[in-house]
Amino acid sequence: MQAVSITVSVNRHEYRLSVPPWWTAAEVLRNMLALPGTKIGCEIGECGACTVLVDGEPLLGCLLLAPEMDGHHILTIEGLAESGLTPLQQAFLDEAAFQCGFCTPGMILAAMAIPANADERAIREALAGNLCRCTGYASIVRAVQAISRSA
Amino acid sequence: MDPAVGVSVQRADGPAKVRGAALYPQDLPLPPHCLHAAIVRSPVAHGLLRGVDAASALAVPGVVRVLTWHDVHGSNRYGLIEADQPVLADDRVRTCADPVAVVVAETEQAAKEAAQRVQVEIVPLPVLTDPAQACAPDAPIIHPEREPIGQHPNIVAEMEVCRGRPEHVAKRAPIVSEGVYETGWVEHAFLGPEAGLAVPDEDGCLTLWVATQWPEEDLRQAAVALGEPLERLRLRQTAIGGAFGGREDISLQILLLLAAREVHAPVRMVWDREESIRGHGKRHPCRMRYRLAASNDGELLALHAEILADAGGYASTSAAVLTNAVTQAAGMYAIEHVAVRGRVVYTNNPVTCAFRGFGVNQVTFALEQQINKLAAQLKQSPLALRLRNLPLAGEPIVPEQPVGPDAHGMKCTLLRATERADAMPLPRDEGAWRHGRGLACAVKNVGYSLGFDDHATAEVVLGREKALVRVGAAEVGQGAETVLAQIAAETLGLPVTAIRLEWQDTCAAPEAGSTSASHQTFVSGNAVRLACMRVARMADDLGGREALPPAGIVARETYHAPRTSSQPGAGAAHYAYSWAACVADVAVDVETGKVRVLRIVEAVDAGRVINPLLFRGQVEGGVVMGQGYALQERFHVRNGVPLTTTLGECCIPTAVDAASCIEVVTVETPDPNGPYGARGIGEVTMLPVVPAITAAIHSATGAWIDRLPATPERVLAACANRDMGIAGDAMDALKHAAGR
Repeated sequence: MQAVSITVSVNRHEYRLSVPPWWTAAEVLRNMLALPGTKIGCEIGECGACTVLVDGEPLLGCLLLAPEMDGHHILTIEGLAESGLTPLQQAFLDEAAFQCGFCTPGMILAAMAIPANADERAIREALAGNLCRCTGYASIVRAVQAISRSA
Repeated sequence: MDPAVGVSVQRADGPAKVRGAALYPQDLPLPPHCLHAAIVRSPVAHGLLRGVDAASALAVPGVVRVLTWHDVHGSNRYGLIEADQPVLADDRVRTCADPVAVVVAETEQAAKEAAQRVQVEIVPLPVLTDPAQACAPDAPIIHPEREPIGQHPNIVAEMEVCRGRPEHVAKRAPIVSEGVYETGWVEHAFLGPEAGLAVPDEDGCLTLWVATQWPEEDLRQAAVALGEPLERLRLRQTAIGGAFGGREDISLQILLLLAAREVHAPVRMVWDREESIRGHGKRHPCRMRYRLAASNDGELLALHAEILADAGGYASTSAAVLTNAVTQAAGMYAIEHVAVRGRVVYTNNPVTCAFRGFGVNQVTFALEQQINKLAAQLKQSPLALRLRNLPLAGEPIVPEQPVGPDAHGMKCTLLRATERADAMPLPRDEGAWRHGRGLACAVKNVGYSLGFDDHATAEVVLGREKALVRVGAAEVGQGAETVLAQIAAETLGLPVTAIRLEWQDTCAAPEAGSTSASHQTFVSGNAVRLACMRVARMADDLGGREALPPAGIVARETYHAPRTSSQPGAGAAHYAYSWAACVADVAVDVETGKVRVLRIVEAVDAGRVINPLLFRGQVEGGVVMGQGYALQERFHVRNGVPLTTTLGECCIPTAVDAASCIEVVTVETPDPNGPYGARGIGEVTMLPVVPAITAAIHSATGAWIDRLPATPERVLAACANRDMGIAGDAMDALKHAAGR
């Protein structure tokens, strides 16, 4: 199969890339753009570690094929804060809402899309596609709530 | 100076982790000319290896080498307790995960494609899947070359601790409560699959970049297996995507070193999730028979326990897991007459290994369930029954282990957890939803037991205003890097920000032992404290810190934990403990069998909490892992081959499944030997949750669930059995019970 030409904005930079059409967005980000913050935990959309924001919406980088990136704005964990940390990243730090940290980039990006008025149930439902084996989720929920309260 | 211990210091690894800048092995930049490796595994769980035909694999463009056992050169065997596991299969395969060959190629894709083309010729042998049948006279012998240690060559380890005349006492006791319990395999399901990179230098020395729990031991095993001098091997830790015991055994370390050595080039290997699940061990499935004898007013008179555990195809740490289970099978109860017998056996099932709790999870479930059944039988409160049978200071628990005055920490956790739980009433039953509350407690040893010299070494470089601490304690997410820096800061009277920890490189950091057995805070914490005390004294002798040379001064100390007896039942088996008690509130839909965890209150005795924020995280994480074990996690194996191949099929709790209300109660009964009184608490947090949840299910429905996990099907079946007057699902379990 021939490589496909795409134009994509990643972390506010425009790229024209020639991608193998069977590659996933997660592979393009990690292998072509040297952005390893997008983690690959299962490759079949079960763990959420590869979550990225596509035009502001959390999507799974392992289920999005490289050609589907064409024309979209993608934000990865590396591009989330233009400088320093976003309030959500700071809240994750303050609450120690991670241990091993492997789920954290995907978790933070999934949490970015949670509306400020979401209650605990809604926060948990929004994060149900992002597995964490370390924290038991309680500190993650607290971090998201801290942001909602301060918003 | 503000205190550094007891403060919620921000995690040292935090900024990198929230920015996505922490590098895991699969994230490392590839060195120039890096090759890629893929493993060819056995297609069957048991068989004689007749040959490996690599011709069509070698024809795949980009393939450099196909390595087999002929290339290994050393002993070709590894294992944490006994080296019974081949790096690459030579004469036979014993599990369907056994590596037979390794393909090295210019691209990952070529390596994987070629791996599928390697022809493996195996003469199948009968597959042994039932641990109860593993010791039958006609059972196939899984390690024929191994010196038998018991009645049957398939016994990995056996252990017995006895005291008094339990048989005699039980026959005359007014109350006897019995049960049969069964637990299954559980997958660690850490989020970061195994990956690594091995890089040879010009002199042929090899550096391995990997995520592991015990770097030095990985290298020791690799050196023997590959016939490589240990000093030519170096390990560099990366960030670790979770461990929980599942990275204590070798996974891809030796194969990577082998490949890099043989092709004289850097070699990278990344496992996908399916290979991760297949390639590392699981929690031991156990069948347990318990019998408690008691007086009419609830004094425990005698305990019998029989434990049969499945080791799978290789020994791993099964013998130590069994030791832990047997020596803690009677929990924290002072019972005069005790008989505990345990056996762990080889089968052709997946290998079982260390997993948070290390054998104590299974016996805690069985024991605490039996205690709760006894309380129901006696119509006593589960709290009163427990309190009445806790040991007094100086009184022994099994096996002949006297407890110190700090053992009242167990009582504190029970009282504090129930007090907190009782402050809030259970919701009222509604429709098909019945509510229930359950109590359980647990004890877990800290550190390595039964004569093992548990030790760690730390080196401190003290400058005028800062210090560098070198200690090879793996940060697996639990927060060792932060906690050890806090201990150093407290001891040196410096702010935590003035401490830097170096733990990642075996050439720089002295050995701290394995990050397991809840041991790092205790043992490495003590080593750091001793080294800091020594360097501070040296600074004083030199005329104070202002007088120190610019490069600083160095001190190194090794901490040895108190010695333990190497003979079970003859003196202290363990040198330190931690305790926890848990109250679970659940709702059970009696029409569907579904169980919802409403609230968990857990009191944990940490001795001294070094970092409240990280302590809370350990408790909450342990609670939810316990909840998963109790209710939903499963791992299916048929004919030795896992049917569970994805994370989703493991059914680990999601944010929606996890208890939304987890109340953490801190108890601080200082350990006499812990640094600043601290105990290790990584494992104990998970233990009491499981029997507390099954007790709550009983409280809600009147049904006992004796097999984990308590799936809706089993809850419904247990409710049906209850209606027929059968206790729990014991009848069904009895059919499968160990025939010892």
